[in-house]
Amino acid sequence: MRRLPRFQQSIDLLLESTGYPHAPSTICRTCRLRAASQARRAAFSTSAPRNEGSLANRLKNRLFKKKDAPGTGNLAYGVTQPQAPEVEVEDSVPGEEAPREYANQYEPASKWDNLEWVGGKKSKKDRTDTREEIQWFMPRTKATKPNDIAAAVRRALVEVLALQEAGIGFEALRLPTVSIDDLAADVQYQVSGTGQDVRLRYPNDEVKSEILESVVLSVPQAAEVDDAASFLQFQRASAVVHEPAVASRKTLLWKEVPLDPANKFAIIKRVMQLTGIRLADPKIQRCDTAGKLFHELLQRPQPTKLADALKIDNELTSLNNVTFSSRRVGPIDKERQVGRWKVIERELESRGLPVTMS
Amino acid sequence: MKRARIERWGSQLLQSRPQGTRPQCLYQQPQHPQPHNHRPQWHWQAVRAQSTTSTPLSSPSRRPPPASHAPRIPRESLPSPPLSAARSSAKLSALHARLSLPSRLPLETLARALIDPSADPNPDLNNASLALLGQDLLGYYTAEHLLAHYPRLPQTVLYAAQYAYVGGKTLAAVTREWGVEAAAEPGGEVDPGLLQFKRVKPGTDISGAAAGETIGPDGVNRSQWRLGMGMRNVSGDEFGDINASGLDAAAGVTLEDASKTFVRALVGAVYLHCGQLSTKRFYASHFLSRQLDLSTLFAFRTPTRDLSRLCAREGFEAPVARLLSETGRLSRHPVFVVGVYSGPDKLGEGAGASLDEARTRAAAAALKSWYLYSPEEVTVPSEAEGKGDQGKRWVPCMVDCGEVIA
Repeated sequence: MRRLPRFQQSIDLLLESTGYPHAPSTICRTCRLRAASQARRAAFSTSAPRNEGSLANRLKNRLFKKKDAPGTGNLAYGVTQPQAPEVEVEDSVPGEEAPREYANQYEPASKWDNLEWVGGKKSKKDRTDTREEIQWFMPRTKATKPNDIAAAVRRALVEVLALQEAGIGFEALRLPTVSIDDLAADVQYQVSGTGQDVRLRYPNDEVKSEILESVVLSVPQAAEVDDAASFLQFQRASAVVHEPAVASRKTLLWKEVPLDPANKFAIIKRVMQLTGIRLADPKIQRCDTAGKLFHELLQRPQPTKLADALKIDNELTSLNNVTFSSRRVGPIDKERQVGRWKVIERELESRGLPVTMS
Repeated sequence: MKRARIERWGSQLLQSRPQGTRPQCLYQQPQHPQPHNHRPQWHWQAVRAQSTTSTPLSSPSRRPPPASHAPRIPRESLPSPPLSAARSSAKLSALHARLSLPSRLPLETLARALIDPSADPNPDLNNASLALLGQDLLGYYTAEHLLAHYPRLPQTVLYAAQYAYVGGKTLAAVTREWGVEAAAEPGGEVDPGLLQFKRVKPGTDISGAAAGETIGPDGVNRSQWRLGMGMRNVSGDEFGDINASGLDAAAGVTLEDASKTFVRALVGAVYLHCGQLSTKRFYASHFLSRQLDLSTLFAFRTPTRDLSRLCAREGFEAPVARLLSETGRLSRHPVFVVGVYSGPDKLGEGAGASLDEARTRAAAAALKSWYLYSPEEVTVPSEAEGKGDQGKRWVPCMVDCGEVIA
């Protein structure tokens, strides 16, 4: 029977993009991806892992009631189909190593208190006691000053474009890095004739080296970087003397720098890390230049209450005879404004009656 | 005429307050002898609210303690709203704009003018001192207007006109016309734009107090006395009344009394903050603009005899009543028109259903025309006050020898 093709799940796209580096190169790409996705999907599966082997082995065991069943072919494929190679992926996939290690240490919780609790004061205290610091993706305070936001956008542009020119992955960008706001202000942006290739033009080599060193601060220690090639590329990029300005290239202001899809999300992510302002997807979609990104970052979020929305309008807030209330002005509020509510309360309490129904 | 230097009155009120006793900390406050929740730490704020200058009240070393130092007091326990609530009150701002008050009059002072002594007995926070100044100012401006413009007014009519302009009922009506609403019960949580006073309990007899049931300083109850004009002139207030309010402020006041005190306090506050010119403008626009027919205030018992005495005193010929016209003498409704003549001059004319009534009306009209004489150009004393070009040149007013006492 021919196997029906299965629709790809959305998680597969993520898994496929990571690749499967340890499979032999003699296997075709389709088989490698299928094996990789099948192996890594276990990390996202909620069902218990089964150690019966592949589907073919499970079918053999079910049919012949024993594990040493005859036949070495894979029953999942037809006769006319080529034999799918058995890929030993289970031992080499790091995603499955951890569950196996934890499987021995795992003890099911019998009480509510034994469960791991994330969030709240107790969790915070436990993390404080164990000195486990939470690495926040973004700072908890949002930047509000336009100058700070503009500096963050310029800095993100310079950092991401510098990494792109050096050929280093954007994962090297970490939140606590040395501020290069002063250096980023001196960098010029040059775009090619097509308007897509944006490159940085540094005033001198020192600026370039300082920027690269600050951007990939963890690279020289080489302790947190997995890929040693990134370090080599960084050294190579640092050693290269900056190229003289090409006449065909056009110098842009930082607000005119186009956000290339290749680095757009890296820039926006870096801006989010620096400013603490989260941008919604429709806003990200509208940002095709750094200036529009800056404009979107300046936009304040929509107020959630009518009173807050009215306070934005200066026409009403400037009137002294107009007051705003963040909640409904009820009968009790009106009685309190004229001073009658305390009399009502006093009389109700003296008669032993409830003041309010609640 | 001797000028009344009322510009010193307000400064006396301000200077009488000791400046060196301003507390630095709430905990260093001496306990107030009265068992009331006063706020003596706001003493300096009250001084600031009355000040007409922008100079700082104290040196930086004598600043009030920070808010975190002072314990938070629930507003319901305060006798009146704090001064800080005045800025956030829409009613107060609306009242300020509705009355076209000068911008120099701060909202805090307007809020203080709305606090009756029955609501907050602290003299630094209620409107008693402002009302005292305002009462004198209103009486002064009204009296000089009446005396200068109608120099022959009888004293009783003068008192009645004074009361009609700035009396208690008039000021209560003015308060209602201004749209000032009263709070049901005073307290710190109440909107500062409401008139705050402690209401007198229902059933309290206020008629005796209103009728002047007062025991004098000599211990004699004069409530049953028939007050003569001489005693009213000497011992009475600007309306010729000897009585003060017989009600205790702690027991509550009526809405009329609270409204009267508020208007007076507001006039006093305008004078302190904005000066005499603004006060006179405010007075003219809110009080003198009220229409008052002075001729309705007269009540003659024997007008014909009064007219004869008046003509004799002034050297005119004796008045003679002549029938000018008549109609329906034999009908049910006859009308006679009689004129009173002094020689060839007709002093007055009146119509009545009988000859005697018409003659009496004509004599009354002649007396009214005499008493309601008004000079064409008048300079009241307050207009001549001021330095340099601010004051007008003083022109003495006409002073009449007085009414005819029959």
